[in-house]
Amino acid sequence: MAKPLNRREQKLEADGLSIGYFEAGNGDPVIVFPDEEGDFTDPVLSKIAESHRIISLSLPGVYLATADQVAEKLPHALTRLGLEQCSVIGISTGARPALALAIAAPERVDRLILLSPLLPSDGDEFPDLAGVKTPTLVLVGTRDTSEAIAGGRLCREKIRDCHLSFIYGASHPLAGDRPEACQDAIVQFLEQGEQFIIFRESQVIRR
Amino acid sequence: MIAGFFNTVGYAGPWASNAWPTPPVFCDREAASRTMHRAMDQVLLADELGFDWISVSEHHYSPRILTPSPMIFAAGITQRVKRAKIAILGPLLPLSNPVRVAEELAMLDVMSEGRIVVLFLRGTPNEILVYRANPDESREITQEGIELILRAWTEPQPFGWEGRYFNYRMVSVWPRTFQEPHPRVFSSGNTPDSIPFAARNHLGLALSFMPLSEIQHRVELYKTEAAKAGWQPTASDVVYRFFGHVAETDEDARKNVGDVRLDLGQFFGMNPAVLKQLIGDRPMHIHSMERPFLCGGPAAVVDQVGALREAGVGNLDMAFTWPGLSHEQQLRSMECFASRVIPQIRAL
Repeated sequence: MAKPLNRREQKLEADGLSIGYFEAGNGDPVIVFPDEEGDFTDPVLSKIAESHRIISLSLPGVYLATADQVAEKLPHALTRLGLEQCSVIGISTGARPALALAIAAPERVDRLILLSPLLPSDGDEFPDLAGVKTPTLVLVGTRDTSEAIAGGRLCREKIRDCHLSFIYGASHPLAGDRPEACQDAIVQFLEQGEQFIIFRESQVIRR
Repeated sequence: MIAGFFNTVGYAGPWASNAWPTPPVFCDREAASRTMHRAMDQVLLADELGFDWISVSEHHYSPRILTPSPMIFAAGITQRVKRAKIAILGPLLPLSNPVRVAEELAMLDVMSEGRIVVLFLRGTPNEILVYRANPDESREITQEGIELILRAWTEPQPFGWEGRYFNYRMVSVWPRTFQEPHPRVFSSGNTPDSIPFAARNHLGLALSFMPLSEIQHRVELYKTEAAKAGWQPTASDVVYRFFGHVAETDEDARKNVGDVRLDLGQFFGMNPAVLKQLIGDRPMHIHSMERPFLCGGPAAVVDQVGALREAGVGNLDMAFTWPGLSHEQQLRSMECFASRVIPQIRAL
């Protein structure tokens, strides 16, 4: 059981974009784009915060901006935060700014993780998924919305180095339904990247 | 009405013990080989007689059914039978790696050019002991396994599975099934609590070895649950597995099956205290059967099938075995059913 999350509320101005955020934990930095309700269950964040520094961007600033504005301004914001490189998590509609950042500043993003990604439907705003060069993990629930599952499949198809995993029995937003399954996959991917597919738990029953 | 032939692949040698597990020392190697040849001959006969499908099942550690791997026997059938469907009713998921099951069934579907039908099961209570699964979790394991298999058959790209009981980081099944999107899948409704799962997932309902009143009750429940999920099952969505015996006359049929009862103790043949623990709250319908479910001359059996149809069953999966019946009597019963009953029940 992870410890309760100790949030450190902050505010940041970057090129006219006002972003509220909170920090938690210590370690390699992870930027989180929650969904528009800011919904990401604490147990999952708490688990990640045990080994990572979480910077969870709050609302509405990021979502009022277009993906282009995010792509243009967020790298500056990261510099202001002293972050050269970070991993990025986007949840539901938070997948849009997460993808925009990964496409605009691939050198700044180590790993990209999308949970139940809801991608924009219109052509102009649609992210150039083939432009994502970052190792990517997409999690969708087996009872997720058809849009999120379709978004996950599209990412798997278009992003060069993308892994799609189904969280069995989870609906949208999936982290609340099966937090342990989500946090295990997320933490292992943050730590091991593409190698998280290698199973290294001992299979010895008794020595 | 679909008429399926359930090939139990029962041991052809003398049964020296009814215990479960049956000690391997009682298995004569020559008789085991003879069993397989005899069963394949029966399969060919069923195909020739016009049965719609030939089914095999998975059971372990006894002479009752010599197909602990139904896939292997089904593979043999694909190479010999070119008309009838092959119903694998079915793989026991708590005893299996579901991805492997998805791969093997896909192979069979390709080998048979799309003639596979499948039912995924938890296994009889004793069989949970075979590969050391937890009996208290067998239903949940089976349901997760079914969802994983369906996903493995339909996802266009490789995927991972973060399950409660199964965890895979890379699933990408080749070959794809011949049938699109996948073979017909049934799910067990013997335990009423399992019926909502079948209905919610648009799966067929499989029932076995229970009285007509219980079939009716379960089909009604299935329809109610399917309506909640926004669809309406028909009789073609329901399969019933049972023992049957047909002879020239009602009297001949009764005489052939005699007064041999089939009861649970005999069927499972294991320590009653352990068996009670394994069964838990699962309703066991086969605790006692006085005679095969369908039994009689052709006219009587046609009526009995009509009653099944009225109860909502559209697929018969019939075993012609019964304790005391000779192999020849079983073959005659098959022939009688095919020539005198099947033509009468086709339009039901």
